[in-house]
Amino acid sequence: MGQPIVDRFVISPSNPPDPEQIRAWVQSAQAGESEGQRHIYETYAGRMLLAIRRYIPGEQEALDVLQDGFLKVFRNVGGYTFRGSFEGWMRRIMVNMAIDALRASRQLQFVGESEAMLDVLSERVEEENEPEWASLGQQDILEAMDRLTPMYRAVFNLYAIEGYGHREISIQLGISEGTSKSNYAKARRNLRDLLRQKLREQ
Amino acid sequence: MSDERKEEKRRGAAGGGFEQGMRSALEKAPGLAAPGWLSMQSAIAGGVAGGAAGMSWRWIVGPAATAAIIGGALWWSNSTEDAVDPVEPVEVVEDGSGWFDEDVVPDHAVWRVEGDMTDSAVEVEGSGPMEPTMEPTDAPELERRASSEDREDVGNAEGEDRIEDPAAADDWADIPVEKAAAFGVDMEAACVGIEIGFRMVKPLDEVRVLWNFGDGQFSSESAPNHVFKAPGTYDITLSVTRLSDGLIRTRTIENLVTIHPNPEAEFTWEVPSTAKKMPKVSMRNRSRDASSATWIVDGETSKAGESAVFDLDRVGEHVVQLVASSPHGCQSVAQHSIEVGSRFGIGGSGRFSPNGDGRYDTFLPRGLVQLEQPFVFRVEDREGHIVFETTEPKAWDGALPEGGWAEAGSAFAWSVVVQGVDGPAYFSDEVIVE
Repeated sequence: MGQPIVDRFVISPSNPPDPEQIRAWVQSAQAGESEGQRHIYETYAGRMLLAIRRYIPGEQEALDVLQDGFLKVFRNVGGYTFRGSFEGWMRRIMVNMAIDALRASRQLQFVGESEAMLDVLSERVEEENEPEWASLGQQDILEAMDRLTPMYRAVFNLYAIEGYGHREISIQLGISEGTSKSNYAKARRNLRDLLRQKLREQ
Repeated sequence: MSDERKEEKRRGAAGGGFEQGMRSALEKAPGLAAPGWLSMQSAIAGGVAGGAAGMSWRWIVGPAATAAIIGGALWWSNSTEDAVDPVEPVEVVEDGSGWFDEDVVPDHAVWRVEGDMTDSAVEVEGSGPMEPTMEPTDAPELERRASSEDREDVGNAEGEDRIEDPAAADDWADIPVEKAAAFGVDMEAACVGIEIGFRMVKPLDEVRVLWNFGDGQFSSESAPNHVFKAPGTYDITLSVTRLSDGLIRTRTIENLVTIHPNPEAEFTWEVPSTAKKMPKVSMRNRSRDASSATWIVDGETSKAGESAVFDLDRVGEHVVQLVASSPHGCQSVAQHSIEVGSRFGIGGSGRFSPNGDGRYDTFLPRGLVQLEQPFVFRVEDREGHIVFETTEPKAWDGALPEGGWAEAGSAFAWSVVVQGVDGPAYFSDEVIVE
């Protein structure tokens, strides 16, 4: 008899698991055991999917990346040396695969723009009356990102959330550093505008 | 975090309250509902063997289909004049008219030559869906295609009683050249730029081969691939030289390969001339020698037709591609980036105060100041009447055409159309009078 199809969806636990617990699961997965893989998957799938969806516009495409991403995680888990967080290590794989998927579907092509425009756009926005950005919900953030083109959201996420520098982003996305900076400035302003609106509506 | 980024952090250049807030919001986000472990487990068990390969296949059959095909192998069709939907995965073999490579068509009919190779008696061993059953008496049928007689030798290469080295046999000099230097091609019709494979029906040892592709190019490989650079019909010649005594057998098949021209894909587009929250951009096909066209925007929307209208409601550079197909199924792609922006894309302020105090008295998106390309900047009132229009970097001072001034508290929509080298970019937003 096959296993009954229980929980068709997993939702990540609200509290992060104990570090010792994670270590035990990772070691189990490194030994190729299904038990460790399952715990890792069920704990992190939802958060990894959120990370992927920040880059990939479509639900189905994001699920494809998630599945392939976890295959890669489990294939390469032996290379994780317990330096840095395991979640961060996994997310880097997921983000790279999301970028690869965008590139494969030709959503990242880009034509550069003049440096003159960059000067105009890179001046700082006044930061008075900052709203409570940290109270934003994940759905609000995704909806706002869906209003940007794939290139804009990729640049924004890599810089603001993943913490890459513009030089790394330019290499990863195949654009110039200047384009990365100006795209970031534009994406940031548009997102701020959209999210400010969302917070006002709450 | 990268060293480069740590350095930026030290300088305080990156990550204001907005970035910190976003990171914090995402850090405590619960995550999305993901498929359960069972589906993942079956993927691990080999359902998605190959990982990346599996994924790229899904992209191909998904909505992004055509985009994924572009840049890879462009499909072709040699058996039908009908346009084939490029979104469908295309089987190269459609009616056996091109391939006779048994590796590619495992179900192919196998022909066995009994006894003397010069004997034309053949028997069918198994039958594929692609080959009509042939009797020896069906001579006209056998002659129908230039390479069809080569096909009867295929089975011989596969057959259990394969002759080890026919070239070494004394009678190699005597058997008809159609068999002594039998060869075929994996496609008899293709588009310019597509690689075509050539191979001998029976690869021989102890020989030297020379292929003449009929376009001035030659190859001495036993199974070469060749790309024809110009449309046309080509005669293919294979010369086989026996190393032991220098005996040469030469076979030419006339008009074996037909190369079809590729269409020239190109398109133009128009943006609205007035302010729109959700601008519609209309594209027009300008391709040459194309019988059908498919549009792709940002790799995800696909429409067919001579012209297409898209709602480009997302801010940024939209990548638009047009895949033009010729009646023979040859394709080429044109691509342009179309920028659609809000005030942030062109440096427009959200408000201005035309009260003569010397501060923010006029309104002009700053991106227009040093712009080299021609543009049109328009401001409209609530009713959509144009109250200001300029093609110079000249600011609006709030004056209305009927006389009077824009009232404090009122909002005006504006648009900027920049005429780029390839086509127009569009920016639109609202400015509030204070």
